[in-house]
Amino acid sequence: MRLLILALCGAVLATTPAFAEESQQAVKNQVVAVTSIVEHPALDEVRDGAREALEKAGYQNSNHFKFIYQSAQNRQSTAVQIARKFVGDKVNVIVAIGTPSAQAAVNATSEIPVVFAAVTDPIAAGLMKDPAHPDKNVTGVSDITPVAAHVKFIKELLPNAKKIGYLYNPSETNSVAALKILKEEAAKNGLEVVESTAIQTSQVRNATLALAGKVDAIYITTDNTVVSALETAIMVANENKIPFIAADPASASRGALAAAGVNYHDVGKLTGEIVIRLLKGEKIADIPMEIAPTNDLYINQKTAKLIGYHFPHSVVERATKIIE
Amino acid sequence: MIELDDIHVIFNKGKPLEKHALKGINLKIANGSFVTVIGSNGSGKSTLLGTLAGDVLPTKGRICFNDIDISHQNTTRRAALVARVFQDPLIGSCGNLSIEENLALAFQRGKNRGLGLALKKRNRELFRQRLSELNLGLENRLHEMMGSLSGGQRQAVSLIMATLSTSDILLLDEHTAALDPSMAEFIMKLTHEFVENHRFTTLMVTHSMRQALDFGTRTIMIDDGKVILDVTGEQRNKLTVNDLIEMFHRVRGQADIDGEMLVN
Amino acid sequence: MWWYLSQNALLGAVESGLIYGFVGLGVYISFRVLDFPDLTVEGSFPLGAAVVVVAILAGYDPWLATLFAAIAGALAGLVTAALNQIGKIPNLLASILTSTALYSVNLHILGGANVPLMTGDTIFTPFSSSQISDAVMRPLVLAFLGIIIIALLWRYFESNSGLAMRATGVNPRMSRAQGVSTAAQIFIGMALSNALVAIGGALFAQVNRYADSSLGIGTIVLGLAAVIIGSTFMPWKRIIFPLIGCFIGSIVYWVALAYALNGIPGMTPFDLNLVTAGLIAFVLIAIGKFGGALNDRT
Repeated sequence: MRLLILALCGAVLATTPAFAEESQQAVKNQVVAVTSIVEHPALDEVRDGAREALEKAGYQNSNHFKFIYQSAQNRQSTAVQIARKFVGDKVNVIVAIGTPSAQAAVNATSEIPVVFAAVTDPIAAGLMKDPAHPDKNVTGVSDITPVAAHVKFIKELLPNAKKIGYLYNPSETNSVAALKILKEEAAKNGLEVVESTAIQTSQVRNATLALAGKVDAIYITTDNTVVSALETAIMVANENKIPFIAADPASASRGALAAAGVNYHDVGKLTGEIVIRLLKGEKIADIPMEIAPTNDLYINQKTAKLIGYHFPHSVVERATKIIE
Repeated sequence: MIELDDIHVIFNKGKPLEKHALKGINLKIANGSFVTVIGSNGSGKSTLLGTLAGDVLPTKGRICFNDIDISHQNTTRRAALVARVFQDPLIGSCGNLSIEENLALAFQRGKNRGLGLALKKRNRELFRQRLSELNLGLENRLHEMMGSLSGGQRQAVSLIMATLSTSDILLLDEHTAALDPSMAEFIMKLTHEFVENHRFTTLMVTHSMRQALDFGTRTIMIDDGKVILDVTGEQRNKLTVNDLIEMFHRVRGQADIDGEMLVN
Repeated sequence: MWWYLSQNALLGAVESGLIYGFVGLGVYISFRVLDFPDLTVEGSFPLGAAVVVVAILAGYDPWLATLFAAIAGALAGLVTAALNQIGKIPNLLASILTSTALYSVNLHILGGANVPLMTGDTIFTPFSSSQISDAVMRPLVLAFLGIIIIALLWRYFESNSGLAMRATGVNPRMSRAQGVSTAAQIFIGMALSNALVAIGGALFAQVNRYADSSLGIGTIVLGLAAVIIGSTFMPWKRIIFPLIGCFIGSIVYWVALAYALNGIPGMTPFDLNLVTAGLIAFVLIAIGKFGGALNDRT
C-alpha cells in the first residue's frame, strides 16, 4: 500500500513539468521574485521600498505583473530551495535581500538577473568581482555602513568620549566587516573600542548590560541580531544613561539617541529602480552596483532629555528629522 | 575457586540514604559447585550476585577467581568469566533485536567484537541446533523479535545465551520467580541439565526454600548482609524446608519470616 | 498553481533531500540506535561545510577535503561523548555544550562569518558534462554516494561491532553483561554520527558554494524529520530499511517544503513553517491510516 502511494506521488511529480510549461504559456507575466533571509525591520523596509518604487512606476499586481515575496525564515537551507523555485518558475528578476539569500540566488542561476540588497561586501561574499562592471547576471545595492563618518559623528556628539562600546553578532559578516573599520577609525580618532557579542536575540540584553559603566557611548551598525532586539538594547542603554548611536536612521524612532546612515527604505527604492531598468530591457552589464546614500541623520530629543544629554547646535541644524 | 574475602558493600556512603548491604561476607566456592542462596527481601542476596557480576564494586574486601583478584573489574570486563540470567526476562535480553541477534551477542561474550559478520551461516546453524534442544519450536523463529516471545520462552533463550560462550561462572538471579509454575519447572529442569553438562560454578538466588534444597549441592542463607547459614553434603541432604525455617529462627531469634519463603 | 513543481524546484528538493539524508543517517545513529539525543549536529553540520571550503581553497582535492570534514565531525562527536561518559554530563546537555563551542570554532576555521567557494573544484566538477545539466547530475552523484554509505553502514550494523552498538541503545545493562563496553560504543557511535552530519555539511557547501557560521540553524529538526518520516515509509525491521528511510524521509520533507513554497490560498510568507508541518502531518497520518503503526526502534 505504501509503495502504491509512493508510486502515485512519483507519477504526479513526473508529469507536473508538462503542466507547468502549459500554464506559463497562457499568460505572459512579468514576475519579480523577492526573497529575504529573515524578517526584520530593516530588511522588510528594503522589500517595501522596492515594492513602492515598482508601484509608482506602474508595476502593480495585475494580470501582467506579479510581485512575489518569500522569506527563508532564518534557515539557509530554505533560502536555497526558494532560489531554486524562483529559477524553476522562470521569473524575470530575482531580488535577494541578505547575504545568504543572495548567495543562494547567484548559485541557482546564471541567466536570470539577480539584484542583491542589504549586502555589505558583495565581493567578499563572492557575488561580484567588480562592482562597477557586472560580469555575470548579478548587480545590486550595497549598504556599506559609513563607519568612518560615524566615528567622526560620535566625536562630534561626545568630544570627551574615550571608549565606544560595539554590540554585534560575530557570525554576521556585515557586522564583523564594520568592526574592522571601526577599530581603525577609532584608533585614528583617539578612541578605544569595547566589544560585546550576542549570538542570539535573547542575549542582546546581557550583552548591552555588559557595556554599562565601561563605555561613553554604544554604537551599532546593521547587525540583524541586535536590530531584532533593538528596543531591549536601547532600554538598557537609556537606563544607564549611555548615548546609543545607530547606523539605521529608523533606530532613532525606536528610541536611540541618534542615528545616521543608510535609510533602508531608500535602499529598497534604489533596488526597485534597478529592477525597473531590468524589466524595461536594460542589460545587467550596464547596471553597476550602487552604494546606498548615507546622509540621513535622525536625533531623538526625548531620549536626550531622558539621559540628560544636550545635542550640540551643529547637529540639531543638520538633522534630517528630530524626534520629540 | 571463587573466594570472597571480607566483602563489605555500602551504598550512598556518607549520605542520608546510606545502606550497608553486605557486612563482611567470607565465602569459598569450589569450581563446579552449585550453590543456592536464600534470604528475605533486602537481605543482600541480590547485592551478593551483583558483586560477583561486577555491577557492584565492593567498598571493602577482595574477590578472587582462581587466585586472580577481580575485585575492581566492572561488568563489561568480567563478562568473559560470568554468565548471568536475570529475574526479569525483559532485562536479560534485547526485546527490539531478533532472537538470533540476541544469541549472536551472547556468542561473542568474552571474544573480540570486530567487523566480522555477526550472523555467519555457521553460527546460525549452531543457534538453530541449540534452540531445538528446548523443544519449543523457537529454532524456526530465529528472525523474530525477542519481544514477541513469552516471558518463559525468553528465559529459556536467556539460558541458552548464558551457555553459548564458555564462561566459568553462572549467576541465576531468581530466574524463575516471574514465571508460572509449569514454565518455572521447565526452566529449572533445563538449568539443572545445563549446569551438569557445562560444569559451571553456579550461584542461584531463589525465593523458594524448596528450590534451594532440591537443586544444587550447597545452600547459603543471607540475612542483613551476613551469611547466617551454610550447609552442604550430608547435613544438607537431610534438611527439609521446615528445618530451614527453624534454623532461620534460631539464628535470627525472631518470629517473623518473609511470607513468600513459606510458599513451596 | 499549488499542485505543480517546476523541474528546477523538484530537482532542488531532491538534492536538498539527499544532502540532509546524510544528516538523517547521523541523527538515526545517535537518537535511535544509541538512544542518545544529540544536538551536536547544529555545530557539526556547519563544521563540515567550513572545513571543506577552507580545505578546497587551500588546494586540497575535494574528496580529501570532504574526508577532512568527516574527521572533523567525528572529533566533535567524540567531544560530546567524552563530556557525557567521562565528565558525567547528561547526554543532551553535553551535546548542547559541544554545539555551542563549535560556533566559535567554525568562526575561527572560516576566519569570519561567511566564506564563498566561487572558484575551486568540488566533488561534482569531474562529472560536469554538456550532456546532462548540473541540476540533474548533482542529485545523481549524491544518490550514488548515499547508496555507498548506506551499504557500508548496513554491513557495519550486521557485524559484531555494529550489533554491539545496537544492543547498547536497546538494553545497555544486558549489553554490559554480554561484555560490551557501552562507553566505547557511545564514543564510536557519536563519532560516526557526527562524521555523517559533517559530510552532509561538506556536500551542502560544495553544492551551494559557500560556508556560513549560521548554517547549522535548524539542522536537528531537518534530521529528525528525515528519520521520523522515513520510518513511516519503511517500517520493516531489518536495519537497512531505516537507513534508506532517512533519505526517503528527507526527500519527502523537502518536496513538501517546495510545495509549501507554492503557497495555498490564504497563506502568507510567514506561514511557510506552519504549512510545511501541516503537509507532512497530512502525509504521515494518511500513510499511518493505510499502512500501519510507526516502526519500533531497531
